[in-house]
Amino acid sequence: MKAEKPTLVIAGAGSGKTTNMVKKIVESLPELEPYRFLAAITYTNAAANSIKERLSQHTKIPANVFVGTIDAFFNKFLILPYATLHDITQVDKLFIELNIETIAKEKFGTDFKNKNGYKKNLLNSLLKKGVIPFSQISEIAEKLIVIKEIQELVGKRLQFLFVDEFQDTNIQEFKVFDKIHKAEKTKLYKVGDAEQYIMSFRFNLEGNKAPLLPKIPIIQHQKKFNLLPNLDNNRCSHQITTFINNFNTQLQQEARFSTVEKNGVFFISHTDLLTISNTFKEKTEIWKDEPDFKRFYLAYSFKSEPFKSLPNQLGLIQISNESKKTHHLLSEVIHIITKIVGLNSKQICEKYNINTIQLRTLAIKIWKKDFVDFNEFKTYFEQDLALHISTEEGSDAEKFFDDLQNLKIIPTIQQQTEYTTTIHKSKGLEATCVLVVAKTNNELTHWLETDKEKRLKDKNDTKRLGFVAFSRAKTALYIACLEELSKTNKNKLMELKVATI
Amino acid sequence: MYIYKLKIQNYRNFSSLELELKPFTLIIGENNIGKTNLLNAIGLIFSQEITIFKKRFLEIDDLNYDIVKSFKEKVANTSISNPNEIELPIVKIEVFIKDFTDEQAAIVADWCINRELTEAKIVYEFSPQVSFRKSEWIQKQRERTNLDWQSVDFPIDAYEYTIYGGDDTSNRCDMYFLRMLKMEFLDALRDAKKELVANSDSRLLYKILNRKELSNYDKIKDILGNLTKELKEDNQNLKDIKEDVNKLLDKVSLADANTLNEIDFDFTSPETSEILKKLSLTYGSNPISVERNGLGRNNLLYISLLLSQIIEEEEMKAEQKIRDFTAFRFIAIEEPEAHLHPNLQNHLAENIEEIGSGKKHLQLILTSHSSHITSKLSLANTLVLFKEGNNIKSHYILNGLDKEEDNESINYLAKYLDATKSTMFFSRKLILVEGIAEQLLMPKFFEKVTGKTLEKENCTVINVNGVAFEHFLKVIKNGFFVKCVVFTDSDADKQTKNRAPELKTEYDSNKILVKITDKTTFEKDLIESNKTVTKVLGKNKNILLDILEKTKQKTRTNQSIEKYREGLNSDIDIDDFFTEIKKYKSEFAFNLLDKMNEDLSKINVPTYIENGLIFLI
Repeated sequence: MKAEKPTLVIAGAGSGKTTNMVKKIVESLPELEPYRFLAAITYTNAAANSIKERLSQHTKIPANVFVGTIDAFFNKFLILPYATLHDITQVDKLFIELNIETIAKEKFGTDFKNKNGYKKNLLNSLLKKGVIPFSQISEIAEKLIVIKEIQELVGKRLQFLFVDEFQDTNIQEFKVFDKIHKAEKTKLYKVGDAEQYIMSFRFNLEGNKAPLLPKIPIIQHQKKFNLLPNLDNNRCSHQITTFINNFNTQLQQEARFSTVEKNGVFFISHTDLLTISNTFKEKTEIWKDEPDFKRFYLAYSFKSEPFKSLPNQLGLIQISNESKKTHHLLSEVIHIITKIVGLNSKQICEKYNINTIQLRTLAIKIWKKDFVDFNEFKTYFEQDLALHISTEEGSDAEKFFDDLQNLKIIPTIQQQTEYTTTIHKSKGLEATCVLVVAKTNNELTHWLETDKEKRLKDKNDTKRLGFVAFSRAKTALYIACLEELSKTNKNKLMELKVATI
Repeated sequence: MYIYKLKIQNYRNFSSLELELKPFTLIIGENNIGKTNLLNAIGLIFSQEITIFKKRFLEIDDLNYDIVKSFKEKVANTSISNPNEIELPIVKIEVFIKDFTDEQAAIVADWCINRELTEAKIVYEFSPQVSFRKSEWIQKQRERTNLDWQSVDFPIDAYEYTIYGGDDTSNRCDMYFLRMLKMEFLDALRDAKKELVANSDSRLLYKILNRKELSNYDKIKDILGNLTKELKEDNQNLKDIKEDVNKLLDKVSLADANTLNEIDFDFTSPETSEILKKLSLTYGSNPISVERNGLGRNNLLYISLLLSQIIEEEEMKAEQKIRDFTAFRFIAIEEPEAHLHPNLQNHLAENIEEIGSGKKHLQLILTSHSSHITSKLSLANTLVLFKEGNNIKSHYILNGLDKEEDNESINYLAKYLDATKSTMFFSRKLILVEGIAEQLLMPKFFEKVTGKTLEKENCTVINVNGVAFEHFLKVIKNGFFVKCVVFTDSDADKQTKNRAPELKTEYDSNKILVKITDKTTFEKDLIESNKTVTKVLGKNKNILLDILEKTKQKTRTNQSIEKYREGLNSDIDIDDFFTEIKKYKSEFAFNLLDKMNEDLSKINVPTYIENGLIFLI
C-alpha cells in the first residue's frame, strides 16, 4: 500500500488553525489503537500547553497521546529509546541548554577553522558523557531516523502525527517527519502559515544561515502534501484583516466578523513609551466589556530600556514560556539542580547515595526557601544540602539560579487583562487590543514593507515579525515608534490608511 | 499531611457530595447514609497494605443508581435523537491534601494545585474509554423490540479507571509514588478473631509479622532445623515406625535405579512465612488463645495490633527499598465500639483521638453510632452526614460558631453531651425542655398531637435541666437540624420574666420556635388544659385529681385529698392545685405518664405544646 499524502493545512493568522487541529485530534481518538501513539507537536511549551488544555476541554486525554514541543517529541520517540543503542551516546542522557557556538566564539572569535574543530570536539566529548545540548536534538534525531529499523519502529509506534506551526519546521526536522511518513504507517496532519515563519534566530544562534522564506519546507515541499488552504480569518476585524493582507505574501484572507466604527488600526504619535502605553490603555477602555478582554503590549525585545521597566511600571503580566500547570514544577526544579551539579538525576543519586524521593525532597527544600541572591543560594546549596556546583566549562550556575528565581515568580490573579511579551512569544496568542511598539524608524519600515519580493527575501524575519504582531489583534491594533516618525514611514502609514492619534 | 477535602460524584449512594475532613474526624449519621461508601471511595485512590484490598475497577452496582437509571431512560427514549444529549455517567472521587512534610511534598509534588506546592489533588475517575463508540452503542440498544429502560444494558465493559493528579486528566499519577500513600480500613464487618490468627496470607496478624525484617526470624529457623534432626535421628518412636514401614515397603514395592525405597519424617517446611503462619495471639496473664476471647476483647486487640504497627513514622534510607516506603496513612475505623461495654467504649474514646495527634503521616477517621464514643470526642471534629431530599450533605457540628466568642457554649455542650450521652446529633428534629417532667411526658404528647412516635420522626427530646437553651440554639441555628422547638416557662412572676421573650426574639426563625407557657410554668398550663371537673353521680370527677390522689398516697391520708375533691364547686383552681403538687412535680409527671400510657385520650395537651409540636412536623 502506498501511503496517502500527508494533509497540510495552509491557513493564515486567526483562521483557527490550532482549534481545527484539536478538533481533528479529537476525531482521531476513537481510531487510536491502545498500543500506538498519537503525537501532537508544536514549537513552544506555551503552545503545547495550550493544545493540551484545549484538548482536555473536549475529552479525557488517553495515556498514549503525546502533546509537546518538537524537542520533547524527538527525545521521547527517538533519542531516549535509540541513541544509546546506536552509539551516539553511551550513558543515560542529560539534556542541557548549552550554546556551543557561544562558547566557541568566546574562545576563537572569527577563527572559523579552529572554532569549528573545537565545536566538533566539544560536542563529541559531551555526547560521550551523555550530555546532549538542546541545539543538537534535531540533528541526532535525523541521524537516527535514517536507520531503517528505527524508521520502522517509530512508524509502528506512531499512529497519528500532528504538527502545528509547521512553517517553523527546519530541514532536519522536516526530514524526520518525511522519513516517518515513508514508513507508511503513520497518518500525518500538518498546519502552518509561512507568513509567520520567524524562527531564523534558531539558525543564527547555532552559527548557521537561516534559509529564505521560499526555501523553508512548508513552501518548498508543498507538492508532497494534500493541500487544504483556508482563507478565513476568524480573529481579526475586517479593518485589521484588510490591513495585514497588505503584508501577506502567501494568501489574502477574508474577515469573518462584521465591523464596528470604533475598530481599526491606529498610530499613536508619541515617542515616550509610557505615554504611548497609557494612551493605548485609555483609547481601548471602550472594549472592556468584550468577552475575554485582553490587552497585549508587544515589542521585539524587552531586554533594554525603556522596555525593560515597562512591565513593572504598568503592572503587566509577562506571558512566560513556562508551563502554567503546577505538575511540572518539581521536575523543572530538579532539572535546574541537574544543570547546576552537571550530572543527571541518576548520577546525582549515585554520587550522593540518595534515592529519588530524597532528591525530590532536596528540590522541595530549594523550592520552599527564599534566596536573596546567588551567594545565599550557593551557600545553602553547598553547605546545607551538601551538593557540589559543577565547575565544568560552559556551566553557568548563576544563570541556572536565575531560571529558578524566574520559575518562582508566581503569576498573580487570573483575571488579569494586561499582558506583555516579545513578538516571538506572542505567536499563536490573541488579544482584544494590541499595541506594537517599534524601537526605531528602521524597524517600523521593515514591518510596513508591502513589496512582496522584498518580503520574500527577508533574511532575519524583521518584516514578518511585524505581520505576526499585527495579526494578534482582534478588534483594535495600535502601532507606535520611539523615534520621531520619518517621512517614509509617515507616507507609508497614510498609504495604508492608518489613522494617527 | 491530611485529606482536607473530599468530593464524590456518582459513586454508590452519592450523586454529588463535597465535604471537609480534619486530621482527626468523627463521622456520625443515620444508617444507610453512606459512611462506609465514603471510606470505600477513598480506598479507590489509596492502596491498602495491611487490611483488605479494594478493587479499583468498579462494578455496575458501584455506580449511583439514579444516574444509571436516568442514563438508561434517555437511551430508551428515542425522541432524543442527538447522542450528545445522552451522557454516560462518570464516577469521580477527588481527594485534596495539604500540610506536607518536605518528604511528603516530594512525593505528591506532581499532583499539586498551587505553585507553592503545598496543596495537591488526586482524582480517581471511572469513565468510558475514549474509543467507546457511543452513537453505535445507543443505536444497537434501540434496535431491541420492547424497548424500555429496564431492558437497556449498561456498557460497563467500555469503562476504565484513571487516577490523575491536579486538574489535567493526562497527568496520570505515577503508581510508584501513589503507593507510598496508604489507607487502612477496619470495616464494621471485621472478623477480629480470624484476623488474629496468622494461618493464611490474608490475615492481619500474618501481614504484620511478615512486614518486619525477615532475617530476624533466622534464629527460629535454626532452632526448627535442630528439631528436624531430633525428629529424624533421635526419636525412638519415629525411628521404629520408619523401620517398620521401610521393611514392609520392600515387600510390596520394588526399588529401581531412580528411587530409594525408603520413607522419612520431616518437620514442616522451614520457610519463614510458613513458620509465621503457625503463630497466633494469646491474651492475658493466664494466657488464653484469642479463640476463647470475647468478641469485644478481640475487637480491641485487633485495633491495637493494627494501630501499633502504623503510628510510628517510617524513616527513609537511601539503601532501603523505597517501593515499600509509606509516607502517609489514612486510617478509617468503622464503629470502634463494636461489641464493647460502655465503660470500655469510654476508655477507648478518651484515648483514640490522641493516637494520631501531631503526626503528619497519619489521618484518622472514625464512624460511630455510639453516644459513648461521640460524646467523648471533640465536637469541633465531629461531622454529621444527613439526607436532604435526595442529596446527602455534611455538616460539622460547630460550623458557624466562633471558637473564641462561643467558647462557653462549646464547653457547655461538650460537658453536657459527655454527662448525658445524648443522642441529639443522631436526630434531625429537637425538642428542648426545661426539666424532667416535660421530658417524661413529651413522647406521649407528641404521639397524641401528631399520631406518630418521636423515633419515627427522628426527633429527640433534650432536657436542658434549666434554661441554658442558648448554648444549644447556637449550634442548631447553623445548618444541620431541620427544626427545633423550645418549650420554656414564662416565669412571669419572677425577676427573670424577660428571659423567655428575649430568647424568642433572638432565635425564632423558620427553623426554631420558642414556645412560652401561657401561665408561669409548664404544670400550670397543664392544669389549665385539664381543669374541667365533671359531676358523675354527685361526685367530682377529674383526671388530675385521680393522679394527685395516687401521687400523695404515701404522704397524706386519702381523706384530705377526698376533702379537696369534695370541696370543689367548679373547675380546679390552678394555683390551689399547683400548690398541692409543687413539691412532687416529677412524681406527679410519672403518674400522669402512666395514665397516658393507659389511655391517651384522657389527658389534654397544653395549647403551647400542641402548637409547638405542630410546628415541628
